[in-house]
Amino acid sequence: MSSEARADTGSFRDRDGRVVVAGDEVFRVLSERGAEDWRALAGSPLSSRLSGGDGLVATEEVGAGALPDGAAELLPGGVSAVLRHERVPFVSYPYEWTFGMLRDAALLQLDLGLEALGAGLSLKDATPYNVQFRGARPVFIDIGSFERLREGEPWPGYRQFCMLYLNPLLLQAYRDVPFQPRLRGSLEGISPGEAARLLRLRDRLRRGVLSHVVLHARLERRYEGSEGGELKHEIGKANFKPELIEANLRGLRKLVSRLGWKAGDTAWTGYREDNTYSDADAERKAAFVREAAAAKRPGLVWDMGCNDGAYSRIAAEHADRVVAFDHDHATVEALYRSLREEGNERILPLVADLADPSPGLGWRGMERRRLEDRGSPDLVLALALVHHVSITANVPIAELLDWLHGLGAALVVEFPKREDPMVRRLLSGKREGSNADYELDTFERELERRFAVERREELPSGSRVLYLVRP
Amino acid sequence: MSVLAYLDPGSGSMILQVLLGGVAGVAVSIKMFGKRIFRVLAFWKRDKDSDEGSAEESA
Repeated sequence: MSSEARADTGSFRDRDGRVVVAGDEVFRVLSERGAEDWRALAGSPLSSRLSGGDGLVATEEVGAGALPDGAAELLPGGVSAVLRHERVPFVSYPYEWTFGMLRDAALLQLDLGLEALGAGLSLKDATPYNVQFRGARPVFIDIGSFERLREGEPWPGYRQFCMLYLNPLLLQAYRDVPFQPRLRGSLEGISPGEAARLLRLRDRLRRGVLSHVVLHARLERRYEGSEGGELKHEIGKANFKPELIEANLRGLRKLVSRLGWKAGDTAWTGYREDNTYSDADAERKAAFVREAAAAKRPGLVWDMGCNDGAYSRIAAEHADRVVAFDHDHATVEALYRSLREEGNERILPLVADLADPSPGLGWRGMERRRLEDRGSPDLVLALALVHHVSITANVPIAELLDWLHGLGAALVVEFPKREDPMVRRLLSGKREGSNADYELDTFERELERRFAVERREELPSGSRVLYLVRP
Repeated sequence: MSVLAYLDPGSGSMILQVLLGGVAGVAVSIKMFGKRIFRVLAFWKRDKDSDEGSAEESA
């Protein structure tokens, strides 16, 4: 094998396994103990899920010959087994997910934990970074997280589950505070102590708070200096049984499945820009997007400012995969719910702000990769977007087009002229003379400097223009 | 003795799991903390009887 092996920058903490990427393939190398744990998993009832499509990433064991050069050195104790995983279409992180997505990932995590327990296995950790989405379906990807159950030991992932799954969900369900900025700001999540301080006195009466948050916080503080190993030993000698873990998992599952977030009324939900359109405009716009997608046959489409996902769905008719972004998480949640209901695996909805896309985070700034590095799109849709980025976020037209050009993809971009009702509304709050660069001829000049314009169409109403361009 | 997994489970979190265990958890709790509770009770009881006891011994 001559393809260059690259250890995945996000997989280094577990000494028993590492993810290796080589070209288009994803491998996992396992130590001796990791290999034994894998064999236990492969021999359990859970193995039926390993063919993919049922909550676990498709996985098979391959011979050492399939291993790319240099990969054998990646584990200190040597490599005892090699697995190959199906590639996830587009990597995303919990700070880009909506409430419903994090909740469904948590339920998957808990269900797998319960099933594993029944098979004499357990999950080493409990972090949403072990879950990815294929369209609107969560998929558990960290096969290395499964290990043989250690008798008498409590569940090691409980605290992490609270910090990365439960507390963010509680914060949003009970306080209507979105968790995305907090998870982006802290890869460890929200500690029990923090959660206890963020919730109100009256929240203590609500499901799950007294035990998993308040009591948890007190015990955490009380036993802070304790020797964990000694305590584990004591618990083991006292006959801690897997039944206790099961009881906890079931309780958490019941709690999480009942958590709901009433998507608040924001400026976007329910409002489609096309409300200001005539039917003729909407029809022409849909046709334009459909024809562009059909012509380009893109593997990956980015729909930026997707709103209710109407154009994502049109693009998906001719594309392999679509990632639909919007900066308003209530809007994306509504889109996620409808995609999940239809079992859609083609369109992945994410929360992202074009003017502030996810940066590289974690160890060496590469543990969680920046948005632009996770897969180049073949086609980008920037519909009903340019005026918001340019006028509301004050990004100069030239710079916005530079960024779009940098994505290296064909682009469908819509320019609402100055006289468009939405543009007038956005400008009304601003001082006279601001956003002077927001003019049709300025836009076209800057566009032509960076792209080859393949198609141009002015919509029937006369206030918006569509372009299909390539870099 | 098992090697610690890479993830620190948190001492307070482990104890909470025992407490959350319900009836089964009570049994584990008693086993863990029972000896200490017994010692405290026993000490208190002996304390109560000690006046009579020492009175008898010295008699």
